[in-house]
Amino acid sequence: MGKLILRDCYIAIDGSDLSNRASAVTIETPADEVDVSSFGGDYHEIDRGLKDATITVTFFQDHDANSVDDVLNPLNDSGDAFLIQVRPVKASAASATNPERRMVGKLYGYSPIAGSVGEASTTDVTIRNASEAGVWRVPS
Amino acid sequence: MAKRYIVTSNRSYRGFEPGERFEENLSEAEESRAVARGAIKVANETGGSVPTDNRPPAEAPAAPEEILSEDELFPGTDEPKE
Repeated sequence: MGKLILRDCYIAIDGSDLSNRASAVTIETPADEVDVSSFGGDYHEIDRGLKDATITVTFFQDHDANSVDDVLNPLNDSGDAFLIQVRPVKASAASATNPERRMVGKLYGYSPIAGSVGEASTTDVTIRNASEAGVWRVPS
Repeated sequence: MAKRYIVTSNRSYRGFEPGERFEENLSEAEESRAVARGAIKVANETGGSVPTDNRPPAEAPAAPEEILSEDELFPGTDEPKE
């Protein structure tokens, strides 16, 4: 694929394609750093612990049916886990050169209105991992 | 068990385009959320079935003669019919 400039990311929340209302997305999969240092050494010995996963998306707010608020508000109210799908190019199906990342996550907060006078109303949504699978890649 | 759905909104759902029918194993919660916001609806397939009995209903006349007279059945012919 070469160097990638994000122009047409695919972002689907709970199945619904909200790509044309999103302006930024970040997938993070850090692992805990566990200190396993013991006597006799001069350095900390760090090992990888449990991994974590978070997907952050910035949306332009939209109150139309099946748009940003209609999708996110019920998920925040219910606390239900849901599927989020992100891939670099929406126009192409998920493939080895356009891999899709998926995660089952939950919302722990939602700002239905955020912004100042004259600005577009945007909302930053942080989705935290809610399954043992974390973020997985399709195709793997 | 997988159910059949149709995408009813103008946004694609799980990669299926608006108007497209698809079969998916959605959880009850996923289905009810998506239906509630108008993303999809359950496709109630009411396809026709082949009748197993081709006989006319009991009240139907058994032969055309019972509906039309012979003259009505064969207008403009004076020759005797066999």
